[in-house]
Amino acid sequence: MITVALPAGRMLEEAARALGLAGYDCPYDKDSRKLIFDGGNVRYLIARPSDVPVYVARGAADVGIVGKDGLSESGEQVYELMDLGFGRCRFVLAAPEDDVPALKEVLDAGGMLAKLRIATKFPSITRDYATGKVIRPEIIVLKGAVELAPAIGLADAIVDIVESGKTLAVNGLAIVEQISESSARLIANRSSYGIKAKPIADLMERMGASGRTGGGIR
Amino acid sequence: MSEFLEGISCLLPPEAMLLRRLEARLAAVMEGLGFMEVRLPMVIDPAGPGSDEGTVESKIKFAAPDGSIAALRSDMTLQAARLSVRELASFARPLPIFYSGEVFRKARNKGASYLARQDMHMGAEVFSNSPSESGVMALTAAIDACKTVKSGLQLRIGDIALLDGLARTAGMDGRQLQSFKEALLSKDIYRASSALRAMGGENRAAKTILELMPANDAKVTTKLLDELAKDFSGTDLAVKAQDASGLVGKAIVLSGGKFAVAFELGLIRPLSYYSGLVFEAYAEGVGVPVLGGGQYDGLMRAIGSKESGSGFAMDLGVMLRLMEEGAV
Repeated sequence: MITVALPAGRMLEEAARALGLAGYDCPYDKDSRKLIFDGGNVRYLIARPSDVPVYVARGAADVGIVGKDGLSESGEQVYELMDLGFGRCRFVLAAPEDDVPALKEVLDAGGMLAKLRIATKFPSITRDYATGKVIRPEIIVLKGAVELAPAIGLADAIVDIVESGKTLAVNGLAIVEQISESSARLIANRSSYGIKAKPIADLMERMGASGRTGGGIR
Repeated sequence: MSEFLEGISCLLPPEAMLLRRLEARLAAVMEGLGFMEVRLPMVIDPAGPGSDEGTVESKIKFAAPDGSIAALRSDMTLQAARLSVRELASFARPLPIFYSGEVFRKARNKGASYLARQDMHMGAEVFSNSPSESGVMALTAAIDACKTVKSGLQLRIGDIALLDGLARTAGMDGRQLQSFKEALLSKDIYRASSALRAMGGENRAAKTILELMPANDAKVTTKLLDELAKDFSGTDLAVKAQDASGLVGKAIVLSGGKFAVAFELGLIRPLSYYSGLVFEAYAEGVGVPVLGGGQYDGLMRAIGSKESGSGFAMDLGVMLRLMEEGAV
C-alpha cells in the first residue's frame, strides 16, 4: 500500500485523470468533500497544493503530485521524480505596462535595478530571483489578488504564475521577463523512495507510459 | 522554551532523560567496537585549514570578545579531522573516535533574518592510512548503530568516485558533472535522468548510471555492478564496481538480516567533502536520514593530512522520535 497526496484545486482533476490513464483506481468524486479515499492498493489524500510537499516530506504520504512552483516554494527535501506534463504555467515578473520598457532595458542589458517593491505569493522564488537583479528588493507577501498591488501603489511589480496572461492584461500589467516554467511533478518521500521502491517504480513507469501514449489527451 | 534565536530550544522531561539513555546505549555500541570518546568545543574558529569545506554558508558567526570572528559548530567532522592531525597525531592508526553534541546551522530564511537549526548528533570517525580500512570500519560501526533500530530500516550505500568515473566516461565535462550532482543533491531525479537520457541510448556509461541511480536491492545491484565490471574490464571503473559490489555484500552479512541494504548510485550527501563511499539509513515514514556519512579524503587533504578519513553522524532527534514510538 502506498499513500499518494493529490493537490486540491485546479490540478486535482488532471492528476486523477492521469492516474486513471496509468491504470490506477482513483475514485475521486469532485462533489464529495472526502479528503481521504482508497483505490485498490493506493490510499489518496487531498491536500492544499502548498501542503503536498509537507505531507510527503514528513511521511504522511509516500508520493505526491504538486506543481513545480509549489515544490520550489516549499523548500522541502523530497525526491522529484517526474515531470507529469500537465498543469503547465510560467513564473513571471510583471509590472504596469508603462513601466515595462524601462525595467526591460536594465534587465536585458544585464544590469541591476536599484530598488523594486515586489508583491508575490511566492517569497522564496522571488527572493532567489531578485538576488543579482535588484540591489534593494522589498518583497511584499500577499495571499491572493497580487495583480491589485501595483494598481494601488502597494508594489512596483509582481512575481506570479500565469497561464495565458489575460489576468495580467485586464489589470494593466505586462510581463517584464519570464523567471521559470512550472508543471506537475511526481515527488516522493526520501525514506519511501528506497523502502517502497517497487510500488513507486511501478507508478513512475505506468505514469510515464500513459504520459507518452495519452499525452495529447491529458 | 524558545531562546533569543528562533529555532534554538531546550529539551524537557522526559525527552532529556530518553536522550541520555539513547546516548549511553549508542556509546556502548561504539566502545564495543573500540571507538574512543572525545569531546569537541561548541565554538569554533570559522577560518583555518579545511574551513572552506562542508557547511560553510550555514555557519552562525558572531564577534568574539577580542574582536575576532567565531562561529557555533555546524558540523563536527572538521573538528574531529583537525583533532586527528594535531592532538591525536601520535595515537596509533587506525584511529576510531566518537563524540556527541549539538550542531547549529542557519536554516531557511525568514524575511531579512533566518531561522536557526539545532540538531543533536552522535558522530564516529576513523582515520587510517588505508582508505578501504577507514571506510569499512566506519560502515561497520554505522551498521551496528542501525541494529539499535528495531524495524523498517533501510541502509543505502553509494559511491561518489564510481559516480564521477561513470559520468566522465559518459562524456560529462566538469560543468555538466557539477550540474548533474547538484540535481542529485537536491533529489531532482527528473533533471538528473533527463541529463543522462540526453546523452543517447547508446551511451553505455550513461545507461548504467540510470540503472544504478535508484535505491536498488542487493540482488539487482550485484547483477548491475557485475555487468559494469565486465563491460569496463581492465579499467579503474571495473575495479570501483567490484569494490562497491564487495562492500554491499559485506554490509548485507554485517546487517545479519536485521534491516534492508540497498545500493543507490544517485546518493549524494549535502556536505561537499565526501569523495568515495557514502551511506544513509532511513526509517520507514521518516523523511530525514537516521544516520549518514562516508569517506572524505578531500577534506583530509584540505587540512594537510595524507590519511583517509571516514565517518558518520546519527541524528539523535530522529532516533529519539523512534525511541518514543518504541522502535529503538
